[in-house]
Amino acid sequence: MRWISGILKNTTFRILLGFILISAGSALYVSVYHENLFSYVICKTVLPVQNFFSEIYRSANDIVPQIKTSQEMEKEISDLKSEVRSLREITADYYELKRKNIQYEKYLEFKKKRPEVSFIEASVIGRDPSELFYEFTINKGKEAGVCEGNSVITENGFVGCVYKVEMGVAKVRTILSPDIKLSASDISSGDTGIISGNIKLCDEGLTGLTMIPIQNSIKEGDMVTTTGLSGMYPKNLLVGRIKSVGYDDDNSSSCAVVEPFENIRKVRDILVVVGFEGKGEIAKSVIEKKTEDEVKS
Amino acid sequence: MIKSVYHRDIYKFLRICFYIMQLLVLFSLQQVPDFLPEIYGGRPTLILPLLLTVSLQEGNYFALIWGLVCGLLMDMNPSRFVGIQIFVMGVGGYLLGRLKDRGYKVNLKTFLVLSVFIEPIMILMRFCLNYNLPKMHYIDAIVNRHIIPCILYTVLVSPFVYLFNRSVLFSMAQKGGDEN
Repeated sequence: MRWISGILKNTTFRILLGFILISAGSALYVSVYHENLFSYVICKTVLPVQNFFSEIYRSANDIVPQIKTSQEMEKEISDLKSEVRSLREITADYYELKRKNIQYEKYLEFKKKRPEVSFIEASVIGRDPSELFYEFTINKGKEAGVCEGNSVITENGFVGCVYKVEMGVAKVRTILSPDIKLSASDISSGDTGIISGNIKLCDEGLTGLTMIPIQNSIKEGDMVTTTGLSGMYPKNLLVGRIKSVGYDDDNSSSCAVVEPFENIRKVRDILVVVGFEGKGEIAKSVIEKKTEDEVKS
Repeated sequence: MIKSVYHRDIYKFLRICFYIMQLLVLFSLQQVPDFLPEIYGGRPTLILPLLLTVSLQEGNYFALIWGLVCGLLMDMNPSRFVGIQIFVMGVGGYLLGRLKDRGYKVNLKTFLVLSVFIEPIMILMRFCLNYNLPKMHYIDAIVNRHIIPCILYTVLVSPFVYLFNRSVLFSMAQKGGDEN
């Protein structure tokens, strides 16, 4: 008993106990009202400072020219040479496709072609050093109309989706993450799969296209776009280019390595898709397939 | 006597303000994309050396609260599970504060020894608890390409944070002494 009363009189124990009670209270509040008070207070305190430093860094980056090492230059030259070589070999049809691709890559063109899609412009203001899959924080949140599940894109292609929204900020999970499951298809062959990353691919700035049927016509260099089947993402958004095709032992299916069109590890300005045609609707084909399966079973 | 107590309180208040400002600045710098260049895929956690410095400077109660504040700030951002960082940093801060209270003499050498032992443990715990590492695929790649670079980078910048704090606090104390 003396031992217990000794512990109860200990100031440190009291502080810890107080903190645990406050934490439990806040957890209860969050679970009941779905509002995180701590998060709101922290965001309000840190956001101006984070914005300030982000802006300073951005301004400095614009003024100071990007310095590249000779190795980087050599790599860039060799990459460009191989690109030129491959371009020379392409057919007229492929050239037409490439031209269309360039058009797609430009945001304004994209916007003209997709008037049904509405965007919010945002900037990346935070990347935590402990994030393994390059998740980031953007400077738009609830008040701007950003919601969980919104797609995040750039003029070059799909980047990821919003997974957490707070006042003034939102957090984005990229397509390099294994936690993202995005239905995508190969433009040329029409074969579909699921975009999902892993740590090895992520370290090289690549992601994977998994669950592809074994009999497929996917080949290196094909472009991958979203299918929009789930109703969560707009369809026909560019994701990346097939880098290699292989076999996935775990799922007994084919898989492919996809090189995203956007450099996700360095992306700064993004667009959050807040509205598009078919949002929230599951494609009829999926429902029909599900019904068929149910009838069969 | 009264004037001396007054100056001591002012000095303490200024010190806390300095810590809070520093916490906000370091946290922001740590989060700004591409501000601190990646070294082999790792970026430093600047708050950790600050936690060590302040905890060893101030003692257990303040260190405990400081650890909880740092942890809260860290938890808000990567935000997988709120509470992990608060716990890790709160306990870490408290233990470091205890060291100070037990008369552990802090200088650059002892600080470096502590950072070499404590920062890796805290970073490792952070990754482990955030990602449930034992169940992840390619754990070797995560350790080699993210955790080890992050640890080395953080330990590398730690002396700078310590020396900066030391010099500022020293000049503040000297000024307070002059006034006394």
